[in-house]
Amino acid sequence: MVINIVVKAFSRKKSGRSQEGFFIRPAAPWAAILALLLVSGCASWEPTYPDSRPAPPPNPWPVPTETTPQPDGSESQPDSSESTPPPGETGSEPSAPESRPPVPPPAPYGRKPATIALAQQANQQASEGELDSAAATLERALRIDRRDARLWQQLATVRIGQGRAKQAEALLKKSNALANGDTGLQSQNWRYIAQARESLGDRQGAGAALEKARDLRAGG
Amino acid sequence: MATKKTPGPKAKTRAKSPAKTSGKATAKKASAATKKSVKKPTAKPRKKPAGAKPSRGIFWRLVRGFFKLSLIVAIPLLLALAAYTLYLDQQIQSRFEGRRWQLPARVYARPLELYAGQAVSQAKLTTELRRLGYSERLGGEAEGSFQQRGSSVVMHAREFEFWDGKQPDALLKVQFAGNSISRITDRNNGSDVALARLDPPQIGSFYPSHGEDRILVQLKDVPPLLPAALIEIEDGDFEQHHGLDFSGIARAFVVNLRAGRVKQGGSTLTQQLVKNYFLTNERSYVRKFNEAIMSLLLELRYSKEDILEAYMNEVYLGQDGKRAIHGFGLASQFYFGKPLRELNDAQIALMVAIVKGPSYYRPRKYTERATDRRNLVLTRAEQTGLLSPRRAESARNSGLQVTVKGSRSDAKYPAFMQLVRQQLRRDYREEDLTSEGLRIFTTIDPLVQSATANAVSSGLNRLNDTELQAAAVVTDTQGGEVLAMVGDRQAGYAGFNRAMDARRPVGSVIKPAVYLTALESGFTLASPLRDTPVEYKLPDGDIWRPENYDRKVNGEVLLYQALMRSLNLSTVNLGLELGVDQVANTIKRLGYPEKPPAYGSLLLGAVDMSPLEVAQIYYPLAAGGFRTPLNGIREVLTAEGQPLKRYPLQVEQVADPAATYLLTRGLLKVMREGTGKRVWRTLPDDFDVAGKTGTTDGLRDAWFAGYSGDRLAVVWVGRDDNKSTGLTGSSGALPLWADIIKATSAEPLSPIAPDDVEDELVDTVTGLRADDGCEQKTFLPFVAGTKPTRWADCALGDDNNESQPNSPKRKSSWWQKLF
Repeated sequence: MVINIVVKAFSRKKSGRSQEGFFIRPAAPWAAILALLLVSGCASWEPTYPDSRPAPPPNPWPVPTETTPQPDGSESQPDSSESTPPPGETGSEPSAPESRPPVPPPAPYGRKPATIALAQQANQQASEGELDSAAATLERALRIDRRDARLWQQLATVRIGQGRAKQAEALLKKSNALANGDTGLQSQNWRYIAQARESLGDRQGAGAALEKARDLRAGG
Repeated sequence: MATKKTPGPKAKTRAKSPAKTSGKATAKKASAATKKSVKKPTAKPRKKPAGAKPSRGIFWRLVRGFFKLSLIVAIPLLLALAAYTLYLDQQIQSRFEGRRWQLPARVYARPLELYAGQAVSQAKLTTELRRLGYSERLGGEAEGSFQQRGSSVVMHAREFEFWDGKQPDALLKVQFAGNSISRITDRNNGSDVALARLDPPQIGSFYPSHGEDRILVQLKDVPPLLPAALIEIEDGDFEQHHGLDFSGIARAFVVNLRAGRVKQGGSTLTQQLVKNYFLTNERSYVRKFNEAIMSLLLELRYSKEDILEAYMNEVYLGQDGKRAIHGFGLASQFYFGKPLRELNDAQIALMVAIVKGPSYYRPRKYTERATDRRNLVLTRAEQTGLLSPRRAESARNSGLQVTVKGSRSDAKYPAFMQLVRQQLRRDYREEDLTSEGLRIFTTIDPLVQSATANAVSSGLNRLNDTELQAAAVVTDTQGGEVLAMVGDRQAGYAGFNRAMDARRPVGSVIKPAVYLTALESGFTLASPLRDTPVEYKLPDGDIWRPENYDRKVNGEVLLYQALMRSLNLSTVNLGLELGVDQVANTIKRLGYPEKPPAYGSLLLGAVDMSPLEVAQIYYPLAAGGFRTPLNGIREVLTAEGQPLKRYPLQVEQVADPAATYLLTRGLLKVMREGTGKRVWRTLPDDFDVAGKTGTTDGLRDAWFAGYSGDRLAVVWVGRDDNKSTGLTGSSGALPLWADIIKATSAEPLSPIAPDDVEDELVDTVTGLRADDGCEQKTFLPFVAGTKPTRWADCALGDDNNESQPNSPKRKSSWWQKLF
């Protein structure tokens, strides 16, 4: 809820002037602080991307601990997307030995203020029909954070708008690969895939994609 | 395809109606003095026969005859002159407003993005600012200046026209914590800035073969002192005259008469402009005559402002190899490495000083001469009130402030420029590139490029063999953008670009393609392979008998171990089982331009590739199974800033994400325990990377290809004469690769496990499930349903789990398994 206010405050500021500023302001002056507060509560146990680290090597090497420095800095902001429910939970290992610690709930992907701002700008451009600019803006955002699955999804929606359905599907699959257990996002991606396939006349493929979207929604 | 879009005239040229002003009298007076030379400026032939006084008789008739004759001669002559004048007029017009200048394409590096969390250290930012010609100045208030204050940098970032519109200048404060940016604020109001973008460094240009290069400026953007001082020094009467300074001409004429040849020319700015437009350096009366007429015509047709602006863009100001420096805009970059509008008094004065003789007053060579003349300019400016005595004095006391070398960095990145040129040639004609003033935004990151060049040259110096050569390619892992390319041990050497043009056998660097094929066909990292002798019949009838590098035979090994140790026998056995054709298909699928010939030896890398091609086939591995064509260009804009062409991000899924993930985990093991172990001499222990060595027969080529989270890099080391280097991929190429990654990568590799993949502890001898009872065990990832279900003999056998079918477990985190 608080996040929504942040987004609104931001979009008010940016409205109608997509590229005029030298730089893009964050949601609001206090947004970064807010984001810090939101994140700091769980920062103690949250390394980079818990599910994705390779298994630690056996004996000869010191086992890397979770203190891997986070290269993208500590500031992150919870996802601001309105349409998606919180990511589904990845679940804990049922057969885990009791010595393992309780599994913390998965944290939402920590989007960066810079990419959120660019995503907003792209939204604005897309809504004005400036699809090429929107795509360029999203590519710029991806250079800053290539692991943000929502950016890939957003670029895919622009591609759909540009009539490049095949490219859109590939981008949505990329988004799925980075979703990291966010079944809500994956379900959404499959719905877009269905849309892309539909536009190419692939009825059957579209149906299959919709089914996947439903399964994910149910399972998530 | 015709992508040509003629840029409109840049210097404004509202064709002025011939607004003649005063000063006719002076012209008349002067013409009397100059006798011949400049006579017929106008197109109106006005004949004035020579004085003939009436007389009588024969004499009278003679005179009449002579008069007639002279008329017969004079009229056509005058007509011819008129026609000639018209011709010159048309020439000067077409030159002035029609064709304009041929503007070379400008090539830019990526703009540096600044945001909190960005892994850019204070040192890197200041390097970038200096590269951009920002001056370090107290307060960092003036546009294009900055100041370091403790762990922050304050600056006034420049305005710049990007492909997505004009970005105004900005007063910024950038704070650092450790090696990254912690906060950016707007110095006007202290508010936070989420994202800022610096202007991109220009890394080169494509100028036409005749070698003229320029950066256009408009009079309104020029520091006022420049035109004022220029007029003062070169043509004090500029505002008044009609193109010619007759007293000057008279003086010159006398000098020339005395010398018996053309020695001096009293040129106005207008005449100098005409001279620069058309003419050679030949000194003759005919040329002077043409020049004079054209100057008058020019003045007749155009305003003083237009002429002055054209002059400032046209005047020759120096030479950089075969490139001629024309105009103050380019000269400012050439001598000071910054835009014209940021020059100080002393620098402006130097530019004005150089006009008289760019070669004679070459500031980098003849410092004293140039300084003397600059100070003369400053003194004149002081005397005429253009500068206050104090400012003039302080400028006179300053050094010349020229940059060490021409700011042009074409020469710095020859390999990357070749990539750009090759990519542009697919879409543009050579003339468009050299004349249309296109602005090309590329992907090169000068910070990554210089780190890569350093890593290559110092790495080769360590190996201490002057015959060794090397090439390297560095890309990102999300957009297929080439960030750096080195084609020679001396990166600035514009010779043979080995990164693109040296195609060499790749050796074991190809093996990931074999293992990817296997993992996609149901093999697991724990699948047992036969590391036993094998024979393969080559098409020419010969029998090929591969061996392991150490000539040993290892019996049965697990798949990940064969990859980790780069075992040849097990790889060939595996590849033959899969079918060489399948592997060849995989190589093509990953991005090799064609399907390589499917002989058994392909499995051990008997295929020639350039480092760039290796980077392309490794790209999908670094990007989770998605291929993106490697690319050196982001956007092309017209001279007016209109977007002409984008090279949009394209992805295509070419490999199964789960199989790609498993392979990457295998390649991580290569680095942790296998042939890539050496990397930990350079990288910190917790900075995970994945990669593969390659060594060819007779130690001719040493390769390393691999990736971290945000960088993919490929390094080749070898000799141009193809002789043995005595080096392996691990001893020759890997150290360079490690240095590159250490200097340029901010993110260790941490691949995201697909939803249907989970880790299992396995016995490294049998590949079966392991637990605390086993000495040799490791975690390996498995696709759901492929996990080993049987316990290894060493396992304590967790009560009754042994025969339990492999239930589809949900995925768990690696750190859970720590406990």
